[in-house]
Amino acid sequence: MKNPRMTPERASEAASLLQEYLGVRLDPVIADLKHAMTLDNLASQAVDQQSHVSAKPVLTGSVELVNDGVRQVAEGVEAESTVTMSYVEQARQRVEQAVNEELEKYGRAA
Amino acid sequence: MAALPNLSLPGLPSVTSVLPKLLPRNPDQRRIDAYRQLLRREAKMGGQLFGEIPNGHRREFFCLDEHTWVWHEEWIDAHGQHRAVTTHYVVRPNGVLKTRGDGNHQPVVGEELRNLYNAAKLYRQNVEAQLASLQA
Repeated sequence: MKNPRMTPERASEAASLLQEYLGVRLDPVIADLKHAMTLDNLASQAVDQQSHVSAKPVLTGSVELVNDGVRQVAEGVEAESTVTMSYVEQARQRVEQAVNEELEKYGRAA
Repeated sequence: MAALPNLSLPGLPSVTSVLPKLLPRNPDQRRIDAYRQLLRREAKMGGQLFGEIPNGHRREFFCLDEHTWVWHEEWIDAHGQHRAVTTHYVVRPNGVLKTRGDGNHQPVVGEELRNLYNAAKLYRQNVEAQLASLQA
């Protein structure tokens, strides 16, 4: 049912405001949210990948879990896995660093 | 316009508070008022995006500007005290910060970030539907 107080002029003005709200406010912030989520997914994948690499030696029974980290006890496996983990760790740290720098910038501005 | 003297009498509203209601507003002021009404309406709609609102709670969620989403919730606790929490989500391309007025900024990550994104998309869909109905 139509709102009796909604004259064509008012409807037109409301539509104009909504259009502005969509284009000026919602679209940019949703695009930024999407980008932030993509970065977060990449960071998660880097961590997952690291877990996968860490888990590989577990299958051979050559490592044991210590708290939430992995302590490697087998020689040979340790050297190979350290190189791979180092690469993944670097990727993860780069993403974290980019996010932290942005957060610090905001913190200083606030 | 020169400032008006305060001619209020005890128990009556002041002239300066009544005049804006009597005199026609200029187009800019009218537009600002309309925008505020729009935001209030969107805030109410946004509060309903997260499922059922608990009895006695008032929840609002809206896009304040191109960087900020606001979640506001009010309720009466078990001791009859009025409670209110306002959370700002500050969105940057490289990350989202959550602040609750105590000066602490926390990064929003993982599931919370995905929920925020999905809520923002749903919110946009609803605003777009309103726009379509007005233009129909």
